[in-house]
Amino acid sequence: MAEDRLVVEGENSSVIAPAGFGKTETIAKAAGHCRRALILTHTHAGVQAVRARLRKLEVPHGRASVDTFAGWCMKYSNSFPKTAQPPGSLPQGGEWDVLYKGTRDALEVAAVRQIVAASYDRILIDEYQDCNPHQHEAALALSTIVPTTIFGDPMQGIFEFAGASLDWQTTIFPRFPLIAELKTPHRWEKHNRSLGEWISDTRKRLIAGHEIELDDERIKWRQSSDAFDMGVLFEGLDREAEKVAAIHCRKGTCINLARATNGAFQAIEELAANRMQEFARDWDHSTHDRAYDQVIRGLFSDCFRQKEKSADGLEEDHSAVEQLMHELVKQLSGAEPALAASGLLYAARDHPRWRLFRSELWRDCERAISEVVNGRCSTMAEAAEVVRQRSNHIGRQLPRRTVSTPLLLKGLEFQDVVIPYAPHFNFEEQAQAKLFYVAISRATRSLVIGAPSKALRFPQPLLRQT
Amino acid sequence: MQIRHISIQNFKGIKTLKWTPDSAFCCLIGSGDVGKTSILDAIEATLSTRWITFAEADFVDCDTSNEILVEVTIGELSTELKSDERFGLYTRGWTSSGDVRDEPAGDDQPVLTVRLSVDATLEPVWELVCDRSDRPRTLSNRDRSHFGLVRLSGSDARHLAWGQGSVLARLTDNTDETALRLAGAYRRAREGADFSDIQELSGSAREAEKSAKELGAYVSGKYQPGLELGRSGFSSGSIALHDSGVPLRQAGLGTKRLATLAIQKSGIQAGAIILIDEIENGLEPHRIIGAISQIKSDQRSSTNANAPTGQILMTTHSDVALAEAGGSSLRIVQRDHNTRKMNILAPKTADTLKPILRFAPRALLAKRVLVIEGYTEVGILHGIKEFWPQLHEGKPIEQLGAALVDGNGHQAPSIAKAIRELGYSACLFRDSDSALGEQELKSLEAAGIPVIQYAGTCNTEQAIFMAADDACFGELLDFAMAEHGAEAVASSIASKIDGLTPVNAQSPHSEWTFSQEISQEDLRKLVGEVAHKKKWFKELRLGREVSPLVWKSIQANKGSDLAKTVSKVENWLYG
Repeated sequence: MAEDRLVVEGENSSVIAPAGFGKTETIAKAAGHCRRALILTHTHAGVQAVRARLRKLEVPHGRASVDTFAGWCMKYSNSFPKTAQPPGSLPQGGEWDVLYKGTRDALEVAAVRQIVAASYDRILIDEYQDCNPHQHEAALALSTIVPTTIFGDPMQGIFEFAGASLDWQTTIFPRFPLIAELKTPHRWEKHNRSLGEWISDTRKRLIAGHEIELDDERIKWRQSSDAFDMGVLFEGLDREAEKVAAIHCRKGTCINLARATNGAFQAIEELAANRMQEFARDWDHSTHDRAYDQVIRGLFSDCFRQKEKSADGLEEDHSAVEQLMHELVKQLSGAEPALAASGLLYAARDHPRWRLFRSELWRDCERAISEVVNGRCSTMAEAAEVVRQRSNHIGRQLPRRTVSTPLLLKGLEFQDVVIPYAPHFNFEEQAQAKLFYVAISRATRSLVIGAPSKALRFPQPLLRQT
Repeated sequence: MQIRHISIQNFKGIKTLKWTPDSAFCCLIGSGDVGKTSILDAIEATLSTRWITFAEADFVDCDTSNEILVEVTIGELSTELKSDERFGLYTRGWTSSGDVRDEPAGDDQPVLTVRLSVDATLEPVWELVCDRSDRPRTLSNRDRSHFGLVRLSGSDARHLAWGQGSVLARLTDNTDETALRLAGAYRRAREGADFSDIQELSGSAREAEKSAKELGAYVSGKYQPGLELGRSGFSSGSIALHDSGVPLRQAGLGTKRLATLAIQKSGIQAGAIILIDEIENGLEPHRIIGAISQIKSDQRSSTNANAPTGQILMTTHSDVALAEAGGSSLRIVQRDHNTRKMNILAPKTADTLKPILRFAPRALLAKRVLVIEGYTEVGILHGIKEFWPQLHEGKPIEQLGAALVDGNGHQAPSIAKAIRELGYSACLFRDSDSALGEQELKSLEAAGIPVIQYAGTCNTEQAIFMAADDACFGELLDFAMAEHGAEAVASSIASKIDGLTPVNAQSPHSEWTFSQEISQEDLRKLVGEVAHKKKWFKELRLGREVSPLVWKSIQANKGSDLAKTVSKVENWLYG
């Protein structure tokens, strides 16, 4: 029987789905058999991926309600606040666990149970490996009301550092018995079947803690002993490729790589958008004329790289831009610093010698400033929050070439993936093999791995699956 | 769906009302102008899909500065209503003690509170009440259609055709194919309409026929869709239910109403709330009984099948209907004449009402109720009340909302108390041959129930004979002999009086001889006792027929115990 049928015809269950093995497809198809399914995933990107798949499969709109785990819990907690005692609209740190505990409490109330039972006939939870114990408790409460199937891949459980270290064997399977393990590597069927095979083989070797052979014709190995080896990034790069990713575990390294490539690879921001929040805080705390200037300069140096003067002295005349910016900098100490900042950010994009390598941050700050300029928000912090929430909700449009971490790129696909200096995964404290697996499984067409030698080895991952 | 609680402010004749129906089947009763229909109007205005236009006259005292506010809390919610894409997240809790708790907790049932408010702009606003949400959730009429409210009133024939919004249309699976075939049928219509091959239509007609028969509608042939062209030309509304070729809207009022009820019953699956105005309208007693018992058994079988029971709220002025509805479903509507505060009372125990329902259901439709201990008194008072109007500007007691009720002997005090508890004025009339216990008298007094009985220790027959003059005495004996046979009457008198022979006793009483002197008073007492024992007047008809004689002796002997006591009864009834 097809997995989607198996899912909807049984009670509580779990499905193991390695990256690229048709998990989203199975979820969407299963929803198509339901009166109304609740599909929960962990990220807005995930929500969008599921929604897109539902549309593609022409599952009628009413058949599925898709939400993030947190979003759904927030909705129910806020609807039954006396029992759930939800934290504010933006939970921080441990408040998230308060949210999940409260949701579980609300799900004990008879009337709430009736509402859940009336609303859904099947619950499908995606990316279960990313659930922490409190989310697991809430999911268990749901599973006592409506038959629930969880989907996940222990090998992609890279949130160990954040407490997502549920033991599949002892904690998950007893409540959600394993009914299927997806076996077909759909992601590579069209583009590069042999790459898919290599990733599957590597997955097995990683689980076993065995050595990985990089000198394999199914992938490209480049000898390199440095993360900043531009050769690894650019040699053989298909300039026409629609989506390329370079993956490194360290956020700082990613930003520096973006800078080093003069913005050929763009660094992207995490969901919390910390750098924009920092900008907003500094802006709001600026009290004297020079302060705005400093805040803007700080942002400039974090987003732009100044190109060296070309040796032949031939370059575009940039005096007009410089003049304009010079004028605008002066206006920062005027009556409307936000308006000046808005002009500055806009003008900077035209500077021929400046290269933007954090365009997402730059654009978000532009948007936040414009919220303030147009009087829609009174403080920059408020504006930053609006922008952050909006882009979380709408979903991000990734640059054509991205350099980022496995955490941020998880769940996404790229035609070509480059991993500069692969041994760096071993510098991570946890989940080295899983992080590596997440990184390599993003690639659909080609995979370039930079490493000093032809062999790689990572500690055996914590799976406790056997 | 079931209404758990309703509160009304400033709507029509109702200043305030708070009511917890507490039953799936409620029969609202009360005197004519008390405002029962206004309650149904308020519920309909709040829950139905109809767009109701409001006018000044819909406000209490036509004063639009006090806004109309109706809040209806509904339980037994359908799956659809409970779904979080509909109203699930707005549900409130109905506690086991029968209160609303804004956020459900523990084992509370989920309920929804719908509020209708109309202010001086006369613009109605429907919304869900939920303190937890920042913004009120307003309800469109499409939203309100999910509450499944139907009202059966007047002679509305709308539901007997397949028009838009009719229950028949809902009952018929509306597929595109149906529409196409309808169009085809239209083309053929002129040649002679035949819809019977449109399966969806004939299917729902069959279903309607089945339920209609169950409810007691007269079905002469079989129900079929047929063409009935109205002014607006051809539309789905032109296809109406026909019984053997005759449009059902031309059937008698009762059949039409039963058919409508039947259609609604089959059209609404998930436990509809059905409001019925005066169910007896157009129905003979046996059909009233049939319809009510069918509705009740439908509810029972849904409950047993664990399906939604729904709720029926009906009003009636028919004693047949309320006797069939049964004590536990009766709700007595009262309204303070001055404050116009409305109250709805439920009998504390159904058992106390049983005798009222069995012997005197119509008492419940009155305002003042005289509970009469025995048959003799019931019959005689029913006769005597005919003589009262001439003393009271031609007004019969019924016009004052007074009713005479059989107390079924020793049950009379408890019936009187039960009636009083329901808010009626009650008075107990009994003869005084056996005294009421101390305890009983006290409790009657505490309940505010006056007790009228004879001054002396006697039964009513004795009081009658003792009040009678010679001529009247004779006429009473003649009446008894004519009714029960001269020989039988004479011999039962003779057996009680020494020296009087049965033969002698058949002659006029002036010719009777006795073995020893006997006073006129004692003689009458003895004969009265015989009349009592032999039940000469103890039947409604007998009591009625003897009452002109009784009235005559009352008029002739106003100082008698009988005259004084009957006048007390008269004064209470007209008081």
